[in-house]
Amino acid sequence: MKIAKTYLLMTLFSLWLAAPHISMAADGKTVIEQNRCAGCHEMNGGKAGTIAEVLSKKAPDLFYAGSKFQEKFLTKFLQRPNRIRPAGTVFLNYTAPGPEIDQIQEPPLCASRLSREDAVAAAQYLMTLKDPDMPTGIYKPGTEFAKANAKMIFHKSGACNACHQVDVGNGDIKGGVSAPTLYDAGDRLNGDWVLSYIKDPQHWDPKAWMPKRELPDSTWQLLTNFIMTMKKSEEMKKAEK
Amino acid sequence: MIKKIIILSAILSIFMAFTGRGTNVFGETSGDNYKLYCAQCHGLKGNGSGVNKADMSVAPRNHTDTIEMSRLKDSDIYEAIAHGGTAVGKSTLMPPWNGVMTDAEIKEMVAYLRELCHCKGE
Ligand code: HEC
Ligand code: HEC
Ligand code: HEC
Repeated sequence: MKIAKTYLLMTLFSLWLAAPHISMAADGKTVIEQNRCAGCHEMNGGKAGTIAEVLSKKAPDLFYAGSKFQEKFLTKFLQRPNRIRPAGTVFLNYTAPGPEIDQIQEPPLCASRLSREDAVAAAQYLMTLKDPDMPTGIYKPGTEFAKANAKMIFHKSGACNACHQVDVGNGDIKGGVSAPTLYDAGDRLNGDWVLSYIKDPQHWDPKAWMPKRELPDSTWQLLTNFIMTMKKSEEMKKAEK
Repeated sequence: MIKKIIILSAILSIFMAFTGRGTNVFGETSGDNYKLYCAQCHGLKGNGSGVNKADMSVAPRNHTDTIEMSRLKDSDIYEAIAHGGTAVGKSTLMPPWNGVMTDAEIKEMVAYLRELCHCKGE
């Protein structure tokens, strides 16, 4: 009995000794738990399946963040988030009827304000949250593609710009506001995820208010290549500073 | 096979009803669908002033305009919603929704637009 007690005490003591080292190298999962990211973001794969559930969403889903994002973007964003959705996570929650045009009412930014160290750890952890069924290795960075053709589809026949903002030249931002901005999509998103999402948005988000179009696979690849070339212009980077 | 799917989906919907994952297990109302899918362009009140309108080269149709809307046949409205503006010789800015809404939901949407415009087709 006595031996068992001493042993227990010693074990506890050694745990106590080790504890500070454990918390110094805070792992990403702990950072996310301590900062209550799940208070706003769905972290466990509960997709919104009804409009009522969509309306109760405070922030975008993160349970497939590792399939969707580039790690470099996450590390930066978690320290100082920028606006991605001009009319908020769910535009219906931040718009009111207007006579000429409906008005957007100050949607919140992401609340994450992590230190550099915590952001690195959290981003590393988020990158492990992958959808194992998503095909990978299909998008090939730097592939040559018919850019003029892609642009025509994006702006005319596919009318993607009706809902998404893009840079139409030298930092001139034009397009719809009900969906995420795409002018920096190439800095933010994973090409394979973009391809999968634009082919079938409702697979990722059953109530996404993006239409699902029937287009040949080659067209989706063309659009993906085009979207992945969209990066912040020098003008925009300067304006941010 | 089909029988299995039916049984499975029945179990699933009962399960969903009991776990409280949403109240509209058996479909959304056309008013709710309109808000989610159409209001971004056609406006929360259906008057053509959605948040996306500002940078659009063709203005979204004002669905409350009795005169304009009564020029459209029900079948044209159905085609426009299901297959997009190009199916009725209009702008591609009006997207197709047959990949998102069921056929029944689209038909209900046609009826809903008739309520918005207080009008009938020619
Ligand atoms: C108070 C609510 C809130 C909290 C807490 C919060 N966020 Fe966010 N987050 C948001 C909102 C709102 C957005 C959407 C912003 C936008 O689109 O402009 C967002 C966007 C994001 C995005 C981009 C998602 C996408 O699909 O574009 C990431 C990544 C993210 N948050 C990570 C985190 C992490 C990690 C934490 C915890 C450290 C966190 N957030 C805490 C509200 C929150
Ligand atoms: C009617 C509006 C609408 C149109 C038209 C539209 N989208 Fe979208 N798009 C959305 C919405 C809504 C989302 C997802 C919103 C969210 O996750 O918060 C989205 C998401 C995306 C994303 C992922 C962005 C991100 O950061 O999460 C890409 C890429 C995209 N769309 C590309 C396209 C392309 C390419 C087209 C044209 C073929 C297109 N969209 C047409 C509304 C639209
Ligand atoms: C991305 C923006 C956008 C969205 C989202 C959208 N529309 Fe449209 N819609 C338009 C535009 C633009 C026109 C005008 C086309 C024209 O006059 O050439 C239009 C026209 C129409 C017309 C008239 C077609 C005709 O023959 O004149 C109907 C009916 C219609 N929309 C219904 C809907 C319904 C129902 C929804 C939702 C399920 C919807 N729209 C979603 C942009 C949109």
